[in-house]
Order: sequence, then C-alpha cells, then structure tokens
Amino acid sequence: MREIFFYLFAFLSVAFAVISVTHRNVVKGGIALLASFVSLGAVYFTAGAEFIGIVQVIVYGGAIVVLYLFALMTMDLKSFGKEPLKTLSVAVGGAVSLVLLVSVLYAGYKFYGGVVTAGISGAKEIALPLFYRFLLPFEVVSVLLLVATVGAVAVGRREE
Amino acid sequence: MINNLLSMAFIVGLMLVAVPPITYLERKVLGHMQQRPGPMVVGFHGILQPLADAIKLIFKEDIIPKGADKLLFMFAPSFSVFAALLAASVVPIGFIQAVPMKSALLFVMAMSAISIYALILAGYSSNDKYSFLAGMRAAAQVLGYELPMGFAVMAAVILYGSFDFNEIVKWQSQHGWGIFYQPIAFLLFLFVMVAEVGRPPFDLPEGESELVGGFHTEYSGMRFAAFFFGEYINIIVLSLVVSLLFLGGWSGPLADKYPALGVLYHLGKAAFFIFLTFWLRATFPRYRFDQMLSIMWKILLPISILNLFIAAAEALFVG
Repeated sequence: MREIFFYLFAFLSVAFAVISVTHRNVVKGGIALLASFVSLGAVYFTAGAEFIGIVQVIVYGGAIVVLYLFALMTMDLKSFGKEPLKTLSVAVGGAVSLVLLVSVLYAGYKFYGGVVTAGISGAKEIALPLFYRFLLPFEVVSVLLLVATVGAVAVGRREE
Repeated sequence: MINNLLSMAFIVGLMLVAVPPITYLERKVLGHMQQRPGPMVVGFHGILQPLADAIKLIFKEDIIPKGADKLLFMFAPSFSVFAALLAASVVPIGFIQAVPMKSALLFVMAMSAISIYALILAGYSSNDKYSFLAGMRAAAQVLGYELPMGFAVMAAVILYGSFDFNEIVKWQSQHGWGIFYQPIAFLLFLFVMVAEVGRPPFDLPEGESELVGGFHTEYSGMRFAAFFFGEYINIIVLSLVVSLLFLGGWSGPLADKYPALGVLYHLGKAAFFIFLTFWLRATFPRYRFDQMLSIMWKILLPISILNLFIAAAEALFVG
C-alpha cells in the first residue's frame, strides 16, 4: 500500500515538474510547480517523514509558489508565449540538466535500497541535529540567505 | 481502523451539514445586530432559507465565461472545499479523531496555506478584471498573514512542546488554559484567522463595494456555492483549532468521565468563535488594501516575533 502511493506521488511529482518547465503559459507552469511540490510533500509522507512533508507543503506550496504567481501575474503574460526558444539557452540548459540527471541516476543506482523509510518523522528528530551537531553549517546557510535578501533589496532599490 | 473511519464520516458529515445552518444563523445575527429581522419569509422566522438557497443554487445555470481558462475555472472551487475538508480531517473533536497525526497542527496550517489557491486560480481563470485583481489581493494577503500566523502558533507550540492536539489539550488540562499564558498569541491568532478565512474586516479578495464580488464574480450555481462551503468549513476548522490551542479544547469539568461532554465543550467553544466572525462582520468596515498589508507586516509581525521570546521564557519556568 505504502509503496503504491510512494511511486504514484513520485511519478506525479516528476510529471508535474516536467509540465512546469515545458508549458508555454507561465502561470500554468507555476500551478504545475505547485502540484509538483505538493506531490513531493506526499512522497515524504509515504516515506514516513511526516514533518518534512508538511513543511514542504507550507513553505514551497504555501509561500514560494504564491510569491511566484503574484510576480508572474503582474507581468505582461501575452508577450511570454510568443517569445521564440533560443538555441543557445536550450543547449546550455539541456546539457546542465543532463549532467544532473546522470548524477542523480548514478546515485540512485549506487545507494538503492527500495522504498526509503526515514527515521525522522517529527520536529524533534530534525531540530536536535540541526541545532546541536550541525549548528555551524546551519548558521552559515542563514548568513548566505541574509546576503541574498540584502542583495535583493539593494537591486530593488536602485530602480527608484 | 473502524473507529477512524466512523470519526472521519462524522467529521466530514458535520462539516457539510453544519454549513447551511451557519449561513442562516449568520444572516439572522447580522440582521439583528443591524436592527432588522433578517430572513423572515421562508418558514418560521425564515428557518428554511438555507433550503431555498440550496434549491436555487442547484438549479441555476452553470456559466463558464468566454475566454476563461476552462480547466482551472472548473477546478478552482473544488480546491477550496477539498483543502478545507483535508484540514478538518486531522482536527480531533473530543474523542472523535479521524486521522491521528503527530504534526496535526502544522498539517492544518499547510492546508489553510494551500486553500488560498482556490481564490488565486479563480481570479486568474475567470478572464475578468475584477476577479483578477481579487486573485492578486488574495496572493498578497496570504503573504501578509502567513508569517504572523506561523509565529503565533509557534509561540503556543513552544509552550506546549508538541504539535499534537492531544498533547496540547493534555498540557492545558494540567496547567490551565493557554490563553492565560499566551494572551498575545491568542489575539494574534484571532486577527490572522479572520484574514485567513477572508472574512470582514479582511475580506479584501471579495470586496463587493469595489470588486463586484471579487474572485467569484463570474461564478454561478454550485461552483459559486462551493467557494462558500470551503469558506465556512475553514471557519469551523479554525474555530475548533483556536479553541484547542488556547481554550483547552475538550477539557472541562466532568469531561474525563463523560467523553461526550468533552465533545460538547469543544463544539461550544468553537461556536463562540464562529459567532465572533459574524460579530466582526456586523461591526467593522473593511480595511483598505494598503492598511491591511501594513497592519500585517509592520504591526503583527514584529509583535509575534517578540512574543516568541515571552513564550520561550514561559516554557522555561512552567515547563
């Protein structure tokens, strides 16, 4: 039962991700992205990582895609669809995704263990390693995010 | 398993059956607060009004406007109902627990975060300026209230030390209601809850006076009704959650001996918050869009972050 849902949602997640990249209507692409994120959350659920699954839905589904859609809706959507595909950007993007795909497939082949059963289901199991053992990397990442935020504000300010 | 299925049937049934009477009560309460009788024609004091509404909505023509994005247009209303019902499925009412879940509180928040897409998609797919503006407003509103709501809930969670509703109620039956420890979080949650369900004074995506009907301008018949089912189920669910979080849920005198009494306590507490949303609607004018955003970002967010420190200190002393 669990395996069926695992593979179902895994498939849905990948399928919607493909739609979100290939759809010519960006708003619909954003909605497909939402579906992909939510299916990914469901995948975490089937793997027993309840907490991460819910956080995935809240953060990506609830906040990030809303922000994307909000930004997309303010743009001139009609001009997007007519823009022709550039050969160079398709080639570069394709090459990068091919490398990523090969490395993911290789990792999956090498560390294959059937359905993943995570040992972290609740908040405590994540919080303890995050705030004790891996505190330094965690703090470094938060500084990185701060830099990105300040950079975004700086770029946004310049236009005024 | 059988127990869970029965509880699930009870909760879904309760949510669907409770909505029509709530719409009637809302009109009556609003009417009397504004010194007019409210619905009076159909049945005794208009008690059959919801039935008349249902018949009207079922037989109304289902119109899909020209130029609308058909698939999304048809899909959006069901989104609202399903997200609300999913949230309802993890909320325990006394001993009636459909889906036991360790992170149930977070799950409710996730589903309420998702339910806003019903408005955004409806606004986008209707091919109508008013609906589109309403969709944008809904998106901006969700970005505004999500953070204060998260921090308000986190303050409570730090104090109780769990996301599990059963643990939360257990803590409160030992130490006393959460509202006495976390009055600020309680008020914040109430504020934000009203914004979350899109009720006055935060019903900006609907905004009849400036956006006709907002996101549901182009909808008719049962699709129109589906939005309201979603909205009212959301109100019920969040009222249940707020009474669980801050008013002790189903705990109360003699509730240990008679579990059914606990269910009544819980529903009674939730009923007060449902009444509160009617009350707010009757007494407050709608906030302007920029006012709403600055309340959320400049007032509620800093308060909710500061409140986290209070909660942490309390958790240290009360434990």
